[in-house]
Amino acid sequence: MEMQANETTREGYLLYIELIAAVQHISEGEAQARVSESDFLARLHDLHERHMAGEFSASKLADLLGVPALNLYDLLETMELPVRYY
Amino acid sequence: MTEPTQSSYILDTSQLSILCRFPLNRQPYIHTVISVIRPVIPEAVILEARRGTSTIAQVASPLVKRGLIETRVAPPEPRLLDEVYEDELGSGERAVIRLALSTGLPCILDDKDAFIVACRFGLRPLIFQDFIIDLVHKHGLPVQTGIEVIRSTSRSFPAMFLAHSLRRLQDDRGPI
Repeated sequence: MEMQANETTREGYLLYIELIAAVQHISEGEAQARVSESDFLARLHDLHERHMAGEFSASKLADLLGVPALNLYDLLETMELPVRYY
Repeated sequence: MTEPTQSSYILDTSQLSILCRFPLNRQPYIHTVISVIRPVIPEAVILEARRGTSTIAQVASPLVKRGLIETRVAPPEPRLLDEVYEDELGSGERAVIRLALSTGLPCILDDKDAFIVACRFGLRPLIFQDFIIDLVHKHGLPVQTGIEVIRSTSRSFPAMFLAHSLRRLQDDRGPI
C-alpha cells in the first residue's frame, strides 16, 4: 500500500516537473532543482485543501501551482485527489 | 449551397476536461459536441493544452490544430475583473468572462464564484448540464446522447441538478 502511494506521488511529481519545465521554458533537471518532491507535495496539498474548502477556483489553483489549467485535472487525477468543478 | 454556420459557445477548462475525459474507455464526448457546435476557448487555455502531455491535452490539442476547437484572445477589458477578482478566480475563468463580454457568445462556467462574477458583469452563463440541454434543444444533439452525457458526468456536479436536467432534456419546450 505504501509503495503504491509512493509511486503515485512520484508519478505526480514528475508530471508536475514536466509541466512547469514546459511553462517556464527550462529543462526538467532545472525544474527539479528548483522544486523538490517534498516541497511540491506540501504546496499541492495545502493549495488543494484550500481549493476544496471553496477559497478559490480550480483555474486559480492551477495558476497558483504554475501549471496549465487544462493539465491541472490530470495532475490531480494522477495524485488521486478530487476535483471541485463547482 | 453553403454549410450552415455552427453556433459557438465559450468553454472553460473544467468543461473541456470533462468532455475530453468522459466516457471512460470510449471516444470522448468532445467529439460528439464538436459535431453540433463550435467550442471556443481562451487562447491562454489552449497554449496550456498544447504544452501538456496529459490525456486531456492529447485529446484536445489535435482538435485545436484542426480548428474544431477555436481559440480566441481575450481582450484586457474590463480591467476591473482582474483588479477585484484575481485572488479568487483563475486567469482562465477571467478570460472566459472577458471573451463572453466582448463577443456576446454564451459561456459555460461551473465554478460558483466565477458564475456569480459573470452574472455581476451582466452575463447569463450556463452550467455544464444546461449547456448539454442547449445542445439537445437548439442544436440537434439526440436526446438519448444528452441523457448519457449528463448521467455519466453527473457525479462531478451537485446531485440535486440531475433530476431537473433529465426532466428538461425530455421537454421540448425548454426550461421548466
